[in-house]
Amino acid sequence: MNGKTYQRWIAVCAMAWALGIQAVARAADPENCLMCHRYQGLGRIDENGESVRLFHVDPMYYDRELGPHARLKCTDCHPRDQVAVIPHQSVTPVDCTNACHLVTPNRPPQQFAHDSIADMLKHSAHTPEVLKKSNELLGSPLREGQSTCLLCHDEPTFRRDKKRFAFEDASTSRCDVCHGERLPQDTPFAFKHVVSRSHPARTHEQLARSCALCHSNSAVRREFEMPDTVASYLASFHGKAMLLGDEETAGCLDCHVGELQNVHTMKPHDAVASSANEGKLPDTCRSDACHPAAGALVTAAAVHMEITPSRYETASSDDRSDSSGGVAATTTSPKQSIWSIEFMIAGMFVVLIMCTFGPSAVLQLLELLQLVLGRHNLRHFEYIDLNNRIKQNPDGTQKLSRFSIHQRVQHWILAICFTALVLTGFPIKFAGDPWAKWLIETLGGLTMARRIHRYSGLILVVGAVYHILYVLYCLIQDKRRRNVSWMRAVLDLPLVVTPADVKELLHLLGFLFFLRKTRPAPGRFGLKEKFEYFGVFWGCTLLGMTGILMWGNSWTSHYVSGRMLTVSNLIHTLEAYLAILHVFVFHMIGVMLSPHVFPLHKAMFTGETPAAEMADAHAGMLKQAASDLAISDGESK
Amino acid sequence: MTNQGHSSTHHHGAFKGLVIRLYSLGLLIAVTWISYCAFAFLFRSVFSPKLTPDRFTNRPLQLDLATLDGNDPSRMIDDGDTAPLDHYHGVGELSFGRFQTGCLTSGCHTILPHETDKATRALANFHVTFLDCAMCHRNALTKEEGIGWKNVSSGEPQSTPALLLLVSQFQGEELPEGGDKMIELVREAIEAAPPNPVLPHLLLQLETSEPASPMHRHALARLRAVLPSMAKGDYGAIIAPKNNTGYSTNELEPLIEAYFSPKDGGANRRAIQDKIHKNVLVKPRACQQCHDAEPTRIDFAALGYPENRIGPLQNNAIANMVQQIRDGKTFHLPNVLESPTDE
Repeated sequence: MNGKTYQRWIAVCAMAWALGIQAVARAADPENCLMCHRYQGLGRIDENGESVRLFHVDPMYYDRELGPHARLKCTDCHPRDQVAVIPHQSVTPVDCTNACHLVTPNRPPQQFAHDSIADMLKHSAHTPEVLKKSNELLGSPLREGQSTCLLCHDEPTFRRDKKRFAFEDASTSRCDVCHGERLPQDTPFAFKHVVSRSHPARTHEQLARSCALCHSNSAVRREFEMPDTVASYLASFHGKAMLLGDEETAGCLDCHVGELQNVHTMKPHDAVASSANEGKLPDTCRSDACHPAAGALVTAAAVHMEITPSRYETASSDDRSDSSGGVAATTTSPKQSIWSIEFMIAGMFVVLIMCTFGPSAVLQLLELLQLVLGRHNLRHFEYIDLNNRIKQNPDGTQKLSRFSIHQRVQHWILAICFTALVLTGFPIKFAGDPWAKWLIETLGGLTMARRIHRYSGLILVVGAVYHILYVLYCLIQDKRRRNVSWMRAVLDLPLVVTPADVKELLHLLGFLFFLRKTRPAPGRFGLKEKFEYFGVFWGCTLLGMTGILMWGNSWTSHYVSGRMLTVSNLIHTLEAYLAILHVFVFHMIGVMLSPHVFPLHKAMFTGETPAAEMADAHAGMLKQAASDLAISDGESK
Repeated sequence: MTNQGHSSTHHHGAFKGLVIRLYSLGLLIAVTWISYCAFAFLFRSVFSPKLTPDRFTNRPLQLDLATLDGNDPSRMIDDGDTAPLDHYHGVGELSFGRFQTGCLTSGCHTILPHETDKATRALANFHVTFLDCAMCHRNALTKEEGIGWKNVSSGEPQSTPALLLLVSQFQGEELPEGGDKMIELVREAIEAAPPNPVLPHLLLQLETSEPASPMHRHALARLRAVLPSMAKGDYGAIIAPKNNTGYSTNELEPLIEAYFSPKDGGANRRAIQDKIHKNVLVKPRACQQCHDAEPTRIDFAALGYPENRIGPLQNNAIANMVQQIRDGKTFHLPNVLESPTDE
């Protein structure tokens, strides 16, 4: 060491002491930059008066070595000759391809650079040109010279969950059991580094938010003629599972980055080398981590679910030349026809729902209107009186009972299964809403909710089959007892729709539209109940079939088609929507909320129907009971 | 009596009828609304292209004041998100909104209020999170006037922030004993500090372990390791004069209102501004008044600063460095790492 060097070191040491380095210097911060940069308010408003330049650096990142960059010196990224002057002069934005020095305890520093990543990007979907153009289209959030890496990355951390601190040293501290505290200093860091590479640093949702930055931006989509792929992903079964907090489901990178590839080599999906390419998709879907048992046809399932293709605004050719004016046209994404099978099925269900729920809702509203106006059937009180007189007869209650215990038990099994199916299935339809995620978490997560849903559905289907057998048994018994033809026996089943029901419906409409003063006098079951009963059969069949196809998705993908999974999903969700609407708006008001029965209809507990409802909806049954018991029904007067 | 009974029954019946009709009206409205929503949702979900929800697209692209103050939920950056694109270093715990006290709530000054002096504005701004504006900018402020901590939430005077007390307790070679007092301090620090998973986790460990037990000692050791990183100016309290010699809030509010009022704008505005700033030094006093071997305005020890922090804060070199910068001179960091042979 010559004299000049000696003097220089003395000066350096003196200044270092003066700056307090002796107290706080860190391995990664030998220049003691954090002396100032640790403070959160170290920043300023930019010259444009809007954006903020914040120079705060979290000291915890370096002290606790929270990320792979925690061992880098500030001057590895920021040119030393620029930051050595205080106040710092204009500092050149960081170039991520610059070589830095990886410092490992007890080893000489190693040169490291991300230039290989830059090379990978040149041959990927996200070429430097694409990233640069995207930044422009986003309104140039990155300033001149800033690395386009920032479009996806910020300060990298090993883990990003709230509990990271709790588990930070958990694994390596177990090593102390045998090794005492003699582990090499960098073992915890190396462990965290390796472990963090074994699983994604971000959740699927956080990744989707990163992708949405460009892939859901209308300007970027217009430029690159892309549909809104994040929206269509979120509408798919994978996206919905992700929204409900399931990390086992497929995220963006699971499909678009193949095995042994990395995100920086991601190709456009139409490139042969892309893992999302038609030719490679079967292998991607059937990878060990996803659907190893699925058939090759699984690829036809809609991972990006679009019933109606997304559209992006595109300027007409005239507008392109003159960006100052003109009206933007809206165009569907290329290669997508609106007339897909999915669209037509969905359209059919819209018509079905309009034609079934629509009239039911109108009927319900008209019924409620009568109550609001205080309008009664002209013979309402007469029937109530008759109901009371029948009940005074020892056999009266038996005659007016509408449900046997056996039927009530079947109903309650149906009700319990239906409730469980709604609670576990409805959140999936509205997966993006906070209540849905809360409900699924309350139920124990999506895996548990799915399990409950599937087994409830199975019980429901078994119950429906049992009910069919029960009806057949009743039918045979009835045929034998009355000695009538099969046709007669079937037509006489209490819930079969007959011409008399249509007549009663017209009568009812006449009353509800103020054209008649009396209501019809249906028997044990009116047309509304028969309609609901038919709906349960229809629903169980459709929901059961599509549910089983989705449950056995591997089988379906082997022997039917992946597209059948999409179609099943669509039918399942729309039919369930119809069922829920019907049950809540029609059935629940009828059996729980209607003033006649509030707070709960007793018929399914005791078999006994309230007098007011008997008078309005089952007057025919009253008359029949009166006739059987030789009680005057008043009509003879 | 009978008539009264009949009348009562009649009234009761009428009331019941009215309740039923009103209830039915409620049901009718509910059914109408539900049916409308059901159809609207159905048509939207089938015939409208799906759009990405706002929470996926409404991310701030550039770090700006709205993002920094953290009061606008749509601009909040969740843990795990990338920072705004133009910003590299993590911003997970930033929430400047709570530091909006005094002048920063007026609507005139932002949470990064120093803008004019390019050389020192960033350095001056970082004092905002722990120093009241009056400390540098109020005329006629002396050490005798008294200085203390002011809670940023309530504006009330308070004792030394728990985080600083914790740092002081862990200065020695030996670990402190822990126990209830330590637990209470950690709890107070959690309440005062921005959301951070570290302290709650350590609090849990301290609370659920016996003092002097290995787990308790382990938690204390981890606490000692993380505390220095946490002492970064955000203590939930700021240093402020004890006696408010300027305007009280009640006096200031009408003046601010008048300043922004359109009818008082124009000619009056200047006068109002002067009135508001009657005790304000536009160019603050010299840094050495605080950062000096014997500061004339701040007694760091009395404020509860740990001993090892007081040294650097009262270091002439720092004060001189900042003063040089204020005077328009530059300051060069020593070339600590590069050996002379590197050149």
